[in-house]
Amino acid sequence: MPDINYTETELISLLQSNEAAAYNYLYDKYSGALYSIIRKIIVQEDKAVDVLQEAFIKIWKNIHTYDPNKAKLFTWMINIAKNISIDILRSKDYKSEQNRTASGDVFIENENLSINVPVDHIGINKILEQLKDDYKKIIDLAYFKGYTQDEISKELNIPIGTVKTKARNAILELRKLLKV
Amino acid sequence: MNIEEYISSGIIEMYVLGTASESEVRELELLSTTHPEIREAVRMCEIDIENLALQNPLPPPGTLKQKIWQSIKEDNAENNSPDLSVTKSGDAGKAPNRNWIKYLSAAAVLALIISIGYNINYSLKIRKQNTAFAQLKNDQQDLLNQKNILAQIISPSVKTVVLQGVPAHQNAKATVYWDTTLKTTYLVLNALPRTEPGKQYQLWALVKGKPIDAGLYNSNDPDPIQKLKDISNADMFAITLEPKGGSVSPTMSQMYVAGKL
Repeated sequence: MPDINYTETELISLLQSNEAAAYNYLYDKYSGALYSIIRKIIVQEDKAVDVLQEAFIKIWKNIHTYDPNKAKLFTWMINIAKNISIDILRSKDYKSEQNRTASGDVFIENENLSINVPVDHIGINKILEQLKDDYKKIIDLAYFKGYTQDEISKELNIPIGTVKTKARNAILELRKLLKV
Repeated sequence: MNIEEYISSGIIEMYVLGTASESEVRELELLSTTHPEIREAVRMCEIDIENLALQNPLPPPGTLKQKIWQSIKEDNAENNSPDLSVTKSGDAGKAPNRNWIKYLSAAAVLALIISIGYNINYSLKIRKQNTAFAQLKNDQQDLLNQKNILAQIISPSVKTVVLQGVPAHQNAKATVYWDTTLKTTYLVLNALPRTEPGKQYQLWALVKGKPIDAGLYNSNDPDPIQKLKDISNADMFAITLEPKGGSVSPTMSQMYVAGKL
């Protein structure tokens, strides 16, 4: 982790200068966070690495379109990474590959049972594991799998209003856990 | 609008998790500009998600950092203009004078071609810029219009009436901003299905059950908040789907949303 700590505003200015120092700081601070989320969506390492690379390049190229009034920098970056991931996940090539190797969605559901889960990936599970089952499910479907509210409501068999309040409670619970 | 209810509903969490619908996003972004507590709630949620990820990072392969930077640099290099150098080649048999002229004319032709190339490129750029500028002016006007409307609806005399979906259309939703002093009415369609050509949504104000036409929503208008007819009195609002141009009285079976004051 870098010694200096830039505020978000300082970091954004630095990034717009297109300097290597900005890239270094951004990568050092955020690559792990971004990669951990990408790996939750795209389980295969080589593909996930590709996504991370594509995401960083896109972030770098499009920094001038980022609007700090709309969302925080991390939210913007993670949306870029998630969109690339979900596109790949839903692409025909990826789907047919998953069918051939008989992994994919089932793999993600039974992550804890699979021997292929990288040991250091247990990290993100630690906090999420402490959440109640239904809170965990909501965050997984909404955040990592990109389900719409409608799809979540059908999947969990609960009304859309409940989907929203459960999500809120999940985040509130998360906030408590993160403070500890 | 009850801000506390809005914040407790979980819509902000859905937005930050990335699963709010387009109209929910628009509504939230609008409300964030006028309600700092909502903006704050959004920020806090974003910070939670960011901290969750930062506290449990998964380091990517060590070689990736340099690899990505290389990619970025190569990308930059491609976009810069290429180096133009006229290569010199030996031409042993010819007399030195002729060679000199030959090279000069070749260089001149090359320079001319490049110059034409740049001119074409330049005029293409100018044309693109003009189109972009015209688009920007349009967008600016749209934004100004919406800004004016926003200024109207944040007035303290404005009542916000959320119209919930009727049993046949449970997920439908719209919001009416009604100025009780000026009697002006503004409508936002938060979640209503797109209309087929030949049909339009019509807003009704109801006074003791009696419907009064409050105007038609124009789905071709890019502005999400639309000013409809002035209404002097209402205890309820409802929206029905009518033939284009509207109806004299509402088609009750085509009611989508309704809400009481």
